[in-house]
This record gives sequence, C-alpha cells and structure tokens, in this order.
Amino acid sequence: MTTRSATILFLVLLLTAVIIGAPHSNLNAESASAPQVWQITSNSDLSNTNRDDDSVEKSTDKDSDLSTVNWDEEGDTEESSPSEKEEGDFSGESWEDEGTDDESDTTEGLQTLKQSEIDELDSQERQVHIYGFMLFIGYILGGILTAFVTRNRKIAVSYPPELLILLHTFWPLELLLIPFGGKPVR
Amino acid sequence: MWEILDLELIASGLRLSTPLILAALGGMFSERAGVVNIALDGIMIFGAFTGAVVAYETGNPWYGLLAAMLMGGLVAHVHGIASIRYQADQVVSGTAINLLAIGVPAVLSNALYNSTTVTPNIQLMLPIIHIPIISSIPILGTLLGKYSVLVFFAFAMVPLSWFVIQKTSFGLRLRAVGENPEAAETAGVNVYLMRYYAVWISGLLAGLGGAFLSIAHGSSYVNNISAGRGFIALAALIFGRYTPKLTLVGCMMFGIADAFQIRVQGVIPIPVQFIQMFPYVLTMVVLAGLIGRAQVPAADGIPYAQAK
Repeated sequence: MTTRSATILFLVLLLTAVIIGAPHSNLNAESASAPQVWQITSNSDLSNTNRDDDSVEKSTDKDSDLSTVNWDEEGDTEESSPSEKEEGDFSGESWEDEGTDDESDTTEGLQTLKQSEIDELDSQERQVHIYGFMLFIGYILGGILTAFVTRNRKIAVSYPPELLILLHTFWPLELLLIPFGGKPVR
Repeated sequence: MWEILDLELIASGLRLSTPLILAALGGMFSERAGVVNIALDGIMIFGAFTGAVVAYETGNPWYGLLAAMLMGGLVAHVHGIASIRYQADQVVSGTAINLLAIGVPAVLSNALYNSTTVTPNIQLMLPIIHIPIISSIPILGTLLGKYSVLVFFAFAMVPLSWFVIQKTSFGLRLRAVGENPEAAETAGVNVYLMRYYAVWISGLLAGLGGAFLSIAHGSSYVNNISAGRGFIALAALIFGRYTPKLTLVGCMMFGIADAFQIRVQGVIPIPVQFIQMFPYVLTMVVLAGLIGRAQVPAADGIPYAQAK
C-alpha cells in the first residue's frame, strides 16, 4: 500500500469516526417503522420523525424512575372514574336507529366525490412525473448527443477542456455556438 | 431478536446502499482517470440541497433530480479546475469542498427559508416503481417488488459502468489516463479533457446520490444529510479495488449493516450509540483486512503536467 493510499484511508476513517458523533440524517427514520419500510417513501416529514425519536429518548431518560409510583392506586383511580364508564357505556344505544338511508346516500356520495378527486390527483401526479421524466431524460441525452456531435468540430478544440465541459452541460448554449465554431477540423 | 432478520432487512439494506452505490461509482470514474475525489461527501450534500430546493420550488422532483446532478457536476468541476488545471493537491481540494458543504447549504437555506437546518418538505417525491409480476411473488416481491426509481437506476448503473470502463474506447482512454497519462497523450488522448469528463461523471453520480437522500428517501434537506456516506462510498470503492462489481458488494455490505443497526435499536439492551457505530466499525474492520490488496491506478492522485 502506498503512502498516498494510506493517507487517503486515514482521512476517510478519521472523518467517518467524526461523523459517527454527528446528528444522524433522516435515513434513520426507517427505525420508526421497520416492519413497514415501504411506507417510508410516502412519509412527508422524516426529519421530524427523527427528532421526535430523540425527544422521546430524552424524556424517557428523565422519567424513567417510576419506582415511587403506586401502581395499585393508579389502577383503582382509573377503574372508579365515572366519566370513563359513561363514555364507554353504549349498552343503552340502539345501533339500528343510527344512520338513515339519506345519511348513507350522502356518505356514499361523499366517498364517490373523494374517490374521483383522488383519481384526479393521481392523474395529475402521473402527468407531473411523466413530464418531468421526459425533460430529465431529454436533457441528459441532449448533452451526450451534443458532445458527440461536436467532438470533431472547431468548437471542441477552440475552448479549453474546463469550458468545453461546461458547454456540454449547458448544451443548448453550445448548439447556438455551432454556427460560429461548428466547422469540422479533424 | 431473530424476527428482525427477515427479508425486509435486505430490502431496507438495498435502499440504504443506493446513495453509496451512486457515489462510489462516481468515485470510481474519477479515480480510474487518476483524480482522487475525496469530495464525494460534499458533492452529495450539495446535490441533496439543490435537489430539495428545486423540487420544492417547482413541485416536480424530476427537476430537482436534474438540478442535483448539474450541481454535483459543477461542484466536481471546481475540484477539477483546482486539481487538473492548477495541479493542486487533490486531497486538499476535496477536503475544501467538503468543508464548504458544511456551511454553504446552511447559509443558503437560511436565506431562502429562514432555517439553517432544514428545507421545507417537497410536495411530490420521486415515484416508487412496482414491478408488476415480481411484486406479487412472495419472497421476490419483498426483495425486488417496489423501490424508488433511483434504486433501480443505481443497480442498473453497476453493469453499465463496467461496460463503459471495460468495453468502450472512452473507458480505455479513461483507464490509460489513470495509469499512464504520458503514454496516453502520446497516443493522442487529451488527458485533461478525459480527466474533466471523469470528474464530471463523478459529480453527476454523487449529486444523484445526494438527491436520493432528499427527494426519494426523504422529503427535505436536513443538515449533514449524507452523514458521512460519501466517505463510506470511498471506502467501499477502495474495498472493491476500483471495480464496479466488488464496489457494489462493499456498498451493499454497509447498507445492510446500516439497516441492521436501525432495526436492532431497542431490541437488544445495548446503548443506541454503540449500535449506531456498528456499520462504521464493520467497514473499518473489513477495510483494514483487505486494503493491502487494493490495486490503485498508477497515476491516481498525481497531477499531470502537459509536456510543452
């Protein structure tokens, strides 16, 4: 192993070790719901999830000493709470009276409306993706093709490599310059 | 404990290895042409920030992806100008870019959104591809069924990179420039241009790796979003002896180890900080064992001065 490789490896390892102590990126959001990983990609705020995890850890540390709590009393209080009983007691309710035909019609109508809206949103989203993808691929291919087309032309030898690369990147500009430097030279 | 060792672990590992694969392949192009690109991590951060900002402002993640690539290329271009044109020390130039990546996105984020740590959530992320038949097969469906489009792209880039480097005249010139630039120039190859091409490809791919973090896997840019993955990609590249196939193995090893440490948190009674170290320690151990066998391109890291 050469000295240069050893230096590079040392720097890589040193920076890696430093970064271990740094705040972690939103990749750690996978820990929030590991069994349902596919949902991660539709999670809109992974960074917040991460911070929530951190805050939970801190609060857990602070509140972890629960030895002084009388668990029996806690349980009794909950069981004897009248409001809990009233809220949970539905024995007197007549479920068949709930909901009329009119209400169900309205509900179905709302569901249909929502479904149509969802379909429309999906359609719009698909169009955004298709349009964006076409532009993305078109731009990349345009750059490659322009570099290929101009490789033997004056423009390829007139400019230094660093400028030529920039021209390939912003290839519409390079295409505009072809009339001035597009003559084949080799 | 054992329930975490399931197929989802591998699927999660594949996802987490995606930015590593992209950055490592980018680094491979650069190193094979003789330019050490230690700036991969910084380029990923710039790419992630640009991707998140453009995707948020335009509402289209593909524009963000394109912008992240171009930004990656531009940042790599700065590295190229310093190390190719002005023949600066390539490690120093790369480190400077990494240091810039710590501060510049924070300043710009503050100017744009009054927050130095996070950008707003993008409205639309890159699409998830469902492979129709495979996703319905029990085991294969879990392993290969549905990933972000960039995951498939990253894995497709591995054989493509091998083909470009090993089977095309462009790849031959690239390798010649990295092994013996004087001989390559004698044969009529423009050494500077080839090195610029290599550094640019490196920047494009590392920028894509960064964009994966902010607009495909996550939905916004947060500070230090790469969490050192550019350096890990470089380590995987050295582990892979500068070849695409072995580099892929190195990246997947780290990705799966990362997924493992995420899933094992809270399952075994070890402080979470130690668990988080696992993939990094594993990478170091593997590198320490295999680094001696790496075949570094002969002219790697050596600035080339054209004969007058």
